[in-house]
Amino acid sequence: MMTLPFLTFALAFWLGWKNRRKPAIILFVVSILLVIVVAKYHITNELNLQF
Amino acid sequence: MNNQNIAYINFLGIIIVSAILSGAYYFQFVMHEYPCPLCLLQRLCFFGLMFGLFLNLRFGFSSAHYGLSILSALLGAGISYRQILLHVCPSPTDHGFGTPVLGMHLYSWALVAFLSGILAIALLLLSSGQFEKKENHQLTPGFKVLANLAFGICFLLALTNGLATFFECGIGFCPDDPDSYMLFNGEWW
Repeated sequence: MMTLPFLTFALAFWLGWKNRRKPAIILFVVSILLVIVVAKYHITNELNLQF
Repeated sequence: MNNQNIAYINFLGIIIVSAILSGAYYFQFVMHEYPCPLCLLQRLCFFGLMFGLFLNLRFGFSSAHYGLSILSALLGAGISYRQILLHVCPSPTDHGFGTPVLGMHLYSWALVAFLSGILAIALLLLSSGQFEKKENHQLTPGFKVLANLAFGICFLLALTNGLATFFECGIGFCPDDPDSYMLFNGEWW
């Protein structure tokens, strides 16, 4: 699951290089959404900010 | 400032972020410190930051491209800030994650890098002349060389990071405090 956004980013860069701007930006958005999903999974425990 | 100089600054931004990601490789493969899930998420946001700059070099300067970079940098800053807060109250058992560099942990440096990136892009946006003459952008040979170089760096880093993460985390989510490469232990998730 954590590997997936790296691969979508790699694909987005590749599509950009191939002159396909719109699909590249769509893949960028997909990558960012995946980052948010994974972040939501990992950012769960309470912060220990009070003494 | 002319467009060629702004292209060089965009390229320099990609080089700086690539150097940061390569530095993370040093800690992972030379010092054998396995990146935590939040560290990997920050790496991903660095790729998002580079993506907008790459699009500028490939398709011409656009405020939308800068916007993509800023969005990624904001997300990355949020994640690194969250990791700072996790370790902000030191205890006998918690000295932060990983080895500090010049007195700060890598996630603290990441926050500095993301905020610096946002500041740099804000300064670049002040130069409004770059958004004119977009149709001539791809005719300049210098841009094509920079875009190809930027693509090579970003693509290679994204692929190798993906591969390293696959070996560390398998096909599932990463363990909170990784201490080995899961795939080497025969664990796929």
